Amino acid sequence: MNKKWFYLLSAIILLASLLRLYDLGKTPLGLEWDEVALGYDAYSILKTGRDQFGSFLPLTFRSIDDYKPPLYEYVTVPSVALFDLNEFSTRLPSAFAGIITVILTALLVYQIVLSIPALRSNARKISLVSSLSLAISPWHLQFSRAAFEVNISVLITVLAVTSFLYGLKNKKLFLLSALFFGLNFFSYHSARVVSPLLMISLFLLFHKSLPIKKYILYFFIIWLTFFAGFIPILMSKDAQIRFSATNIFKPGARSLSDRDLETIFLEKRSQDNLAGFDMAGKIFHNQRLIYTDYESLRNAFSNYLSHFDFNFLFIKADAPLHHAPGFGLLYIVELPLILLGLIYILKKGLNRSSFFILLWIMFVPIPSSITKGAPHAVRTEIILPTFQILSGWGLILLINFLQKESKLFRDAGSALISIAFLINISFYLHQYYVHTNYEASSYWLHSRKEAVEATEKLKNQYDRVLISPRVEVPLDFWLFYTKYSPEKYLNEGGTISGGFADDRNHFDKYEFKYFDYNNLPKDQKILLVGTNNSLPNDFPGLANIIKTIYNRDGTNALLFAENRH
Amino acid sequence: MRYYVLLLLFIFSLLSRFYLLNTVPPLFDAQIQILRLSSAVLNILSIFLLYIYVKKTLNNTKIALLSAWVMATLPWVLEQGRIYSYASNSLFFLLLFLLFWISLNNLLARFILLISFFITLYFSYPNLWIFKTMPVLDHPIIFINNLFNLLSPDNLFFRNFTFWWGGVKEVGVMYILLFPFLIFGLLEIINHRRYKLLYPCLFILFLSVVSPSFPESREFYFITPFLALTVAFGIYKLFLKGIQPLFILIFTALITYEIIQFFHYYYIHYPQDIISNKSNIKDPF
Repeated sequence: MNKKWFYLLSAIILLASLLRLYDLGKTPLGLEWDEVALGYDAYSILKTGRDQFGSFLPLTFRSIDDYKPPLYEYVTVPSVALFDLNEFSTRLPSAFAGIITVILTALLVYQIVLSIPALRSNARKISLVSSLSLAISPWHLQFSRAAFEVNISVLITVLAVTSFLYGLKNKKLFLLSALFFGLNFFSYHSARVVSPLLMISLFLLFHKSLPIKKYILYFFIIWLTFFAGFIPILMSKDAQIRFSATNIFKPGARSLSDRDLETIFLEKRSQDNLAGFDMAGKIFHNQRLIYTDYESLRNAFSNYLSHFDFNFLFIKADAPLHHAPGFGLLYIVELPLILLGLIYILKKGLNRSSFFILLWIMFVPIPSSITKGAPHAVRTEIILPTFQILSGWGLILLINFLQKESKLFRDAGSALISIAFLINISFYLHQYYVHTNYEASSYWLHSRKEAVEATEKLKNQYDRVLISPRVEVPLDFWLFYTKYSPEKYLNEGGTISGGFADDRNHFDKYEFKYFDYNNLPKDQKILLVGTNNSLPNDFPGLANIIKTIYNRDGTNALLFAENRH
Repeated sequence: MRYYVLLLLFIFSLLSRFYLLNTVPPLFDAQIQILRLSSAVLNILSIFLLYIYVKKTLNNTKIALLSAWVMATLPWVLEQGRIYSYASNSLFFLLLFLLFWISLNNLLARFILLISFFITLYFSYPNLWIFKTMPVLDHPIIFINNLFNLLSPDNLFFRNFTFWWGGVKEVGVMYILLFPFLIFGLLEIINHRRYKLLYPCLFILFLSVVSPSFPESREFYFITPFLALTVAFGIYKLFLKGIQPLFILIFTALITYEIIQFFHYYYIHYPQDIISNKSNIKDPF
């Protein structure tokens, strides 16, 4: 590695750190429910060694009844120990993972490009461009600046692949990659499928360059040790709940608007009967064959391809929490570069390393394609940094092409590309750092923090504080922002269920349960927190509303009321 | 051999276009009956025009036969061939125009041909937006967005925006099984620098992307012969040049299943869906 490369990479790391750490706890303003659940569980582990349900050092965190993989919680423990329980400490592991991934991308790309004869002379340049591209990537920044487990998974995946490729000549790194591939079972749900596929592909593609058999044996011993730890999770009914609630074959109740396949099949079968084609109906719409049925597979394939949709990648992504307002996951100026990089690789640079990048792109959407809500930016974030690698290749090829042209053409071309990038990037940064806190404030749930602070001030004036479960997952927000002592909380019974509609949880004066405003006890003074944004409303028209909390976009978030006493 | 294949294709096209022509889709206006008949005839002729066009352009009978086969079985082409469709009828004239275009070398003759084509198009497709209104193009991003929307896998394989004018909701422009061949064919065309083959696509795509009726751009139907040609290129390069017979057998079995499934939806479910939506259909087809 030469000095110039090192200095430039240092500048990229500085930029990546700045973009990830600046205003980390305040933009996005407020934590969403997964973040508070992660943060409080880490806090609880730090103080008691148990999660909010009382499980000792669990390998699966029940959390909000979505049974989260444990890695993020555990890496958040030191951060919470150092900076106390707050937005910054909860998000710091993700930001830190993001910065490290930017560095590793440079090393990964350098190693890959060295093996492609057509690009070898540009290895350093391409590694820097790809790394820079990831440093400013809207997709990567979005999840590096919030507590999303998947961002840790991106880091572990890049670590595993990079150490494997370098490990072909260095046995220690080879064994280290086994550790990372194993660790990925505990980082994020989709990594549990993608990571083994990537590992198998690497073994198949590089089987001629692998170290001696003894090290391959050690590799699998390490990997199998982690896999053995994963088997109980795989087999447990609780952890499978997430899959059964999200898979497209048996949709759960979360999204009632989804028509499940069984209903569709029944409709079609009755049409077949009406037309006198019972047998055809048994073949084409058979709910017993739901997993192998052509219609189901077609749905899965449609979901799979939706992850490469232009609208999803470049224009509007998916849920508002997953992108900056008015922006997609990748820069639109990257599109021609990605295509250029892809075509060039397919035509002139296809070897086992570049083919592996293509496999990486193809594998990642697989788990997401059999789940509802596809395309999904979180479940597929481990596709990074492949797009940045392709755009890096594309950009260097374009620059090389321009350098062969006349000075005028070269200067004009370079100026045009630079202006396009500057406009696109600055627009993104403006949208993210300025508009997120206004346009997406209702999604980032900043109002919950304000509500907790208000109830803390008011609670002494009341006998009880009732918080409606319609305030989506209120328990974790109140635990997090009050920093309620985990020892005390577990002594009071801990969390009974993290489900969205559960109304049995309570601590201190707070009770998280549904209430009927007109039938509340009159001999007690009760503070009520609820919302009229979801039906049925928590408060009737004549309720004694004492406070309203607004989102930054001016919409009504939460209401405080008193009972008639 | 090729004549047997062409004969088989002809029989298939004849059966698939004329079987229950007056009842599937349900006929709501008796006057349409004769128009459906002409549509079916022009649709079948288009398949054979494509065969001749590809054979003349590439000088390769196998790719020409494959293109004709893909075109004959494409769900969208089949659906449009069974209704009174301006787009389907005009496709015949477009292919005829392309055939003459490659046969002529004289600039003046080509110019006259071009004018004649537009005049024919005016009469065969009077509703085509270029004869009535200005294009819609507010922003370059919208242009790119529309382009990708039309070419999206969702549109090509899974969703059919033509339900109100003859299309089965459950099947897109083509069968999913053709997806890898489409990609491979496209790469092969790029690799062999046969860009000329796809030049007409640029015009068709532009026409569809800026169409005032986007996303229901009927003009996009003109792309079907070029999709068929690209897929045929992919099949030819993958199958007829060195892939195991076992793969060919699996492919044949699966594509047969997919075609039968399409017919199942088309002949059994589509008529019932259309009848239950009769009140919402503005123009009978």
